[in-house]
Amino acid sequence: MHLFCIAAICARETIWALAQGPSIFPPSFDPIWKKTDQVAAAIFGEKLPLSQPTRQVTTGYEHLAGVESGYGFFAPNVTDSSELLFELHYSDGRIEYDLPSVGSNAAGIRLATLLDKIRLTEDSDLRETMIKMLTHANWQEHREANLIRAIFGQVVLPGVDQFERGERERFDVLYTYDFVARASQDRPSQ
Amino acid sequence: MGQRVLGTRSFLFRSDSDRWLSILRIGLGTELILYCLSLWKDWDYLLASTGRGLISRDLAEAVLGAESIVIPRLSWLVALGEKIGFQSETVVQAAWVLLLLAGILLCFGFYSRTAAVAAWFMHLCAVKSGDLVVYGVDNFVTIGLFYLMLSPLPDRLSLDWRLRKPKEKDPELLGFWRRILQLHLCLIYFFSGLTKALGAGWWNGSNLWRALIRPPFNVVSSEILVNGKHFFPVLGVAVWVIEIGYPFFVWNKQTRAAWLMSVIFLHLGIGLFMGMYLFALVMIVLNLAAFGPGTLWREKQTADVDRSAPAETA
Repeated sequence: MHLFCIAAICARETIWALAQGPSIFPPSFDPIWKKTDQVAAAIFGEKLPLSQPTRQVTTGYEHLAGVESGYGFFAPNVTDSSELLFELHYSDGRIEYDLPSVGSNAAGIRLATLLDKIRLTEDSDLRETMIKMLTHANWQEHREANLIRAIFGQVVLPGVDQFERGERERFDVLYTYDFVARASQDRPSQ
Repeated sequence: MGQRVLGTRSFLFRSDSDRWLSILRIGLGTELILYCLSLWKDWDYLLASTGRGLISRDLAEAVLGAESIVIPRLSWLVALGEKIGFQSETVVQAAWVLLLLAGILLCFGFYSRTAAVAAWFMHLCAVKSGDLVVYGVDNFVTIGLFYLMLSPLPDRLSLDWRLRKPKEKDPELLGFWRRILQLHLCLIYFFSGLTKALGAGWWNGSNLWRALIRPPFNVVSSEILVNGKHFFPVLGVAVWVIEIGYPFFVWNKQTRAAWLMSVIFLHLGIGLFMGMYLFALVMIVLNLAAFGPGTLWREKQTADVDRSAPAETA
């Protein structure tokens, strides 16, 4: 049962990856993968309410055993990486730039994971909330700043040939949020 | 039908020694110690509640709570701590200390079962509350700790064995848990390889190049990497061939050692060239525990049963 559960979750993730595309299959297959993905979602009870007892128990077990997700790391495609840049505005007109920071390489990998999760978040309110939290963390180190512009984007990686032609990583802006720090508040507000 | 049931039973419950369990225990103990030490500066910052750290653990826990109420999380410990007068920050720091202590106890095999259960629980609390900052390594550590905690501890190399002289463990039960770990690894690699093979970039080498230059995995300079561009297609294909081939070649006596070594070198490469040291370590530990004894080195024959090698399949 345990191993069947793992195999099913892995198969489900593979179908999801195909539905997200692109893959080695021609684009004409895309509707088939999307349909299969919808059917799989229904079979796996993903459309059931989260509070449904069976779903609560199975999800709980999967998390306890560490088998709640598949193993498609860097697959089927390696996505561009995500970046968050803070533009700090001061009352004297000065502007500085900063990045979210952590104290070690190990935490750096985790920060990169977080930024990727923010990029993949479809819920715009949740995305904004997470960026606001990161902005607040940065504001703690720059309390004099009265406005922080959080610029979230992706780092577009060059291919080998492009790299040989001199092209390098490019930062494409996806979202921008302005947070105003008010003296009466302990955190910036949009 | 009866033959099939018997065959399945003898496949799943093949007598085994506890050497694989020693590898799993010491390996996961080491992994936990390194995990704690690598995050000691950032532990509070990554797992703080709203407004006190990088991102709120309350947010991750809220999502988690909606998914299932039985998933362990730090807020359980914080609530318990607050009842007896400890502050939230103190409890989070205590969780780090307890996890480190559990890792040390596992390495020595002292109170092995208690340490394994505590390590599994504390680690799960940390990774679930920090769900927004977790990646693959955390899943694999949870998997390893889950099997370790359920396996028949203590093993012969542990301090528990030397100090308390417990009863001999059931070799069939030892074999069963090792078999589950072996089968789990086969599923992991098969699906990991399959998903990679579905991306054109893993056939022409572009995904390997992208994985190596993608921040924060760009440990080796792109200027150096580009010199090996002709090898990327071959290496890219080799990665998913090794992974997909794992469940087929690791059971065969002739190819087992070669396949196991290929996978270990693959993980060494990931560790060295992408800076994912903890990920590389946990994967090597799981592989060595599952297929190492009897494959990469001989085991001593014990009196009651030949426990030297993993079972062969037809």
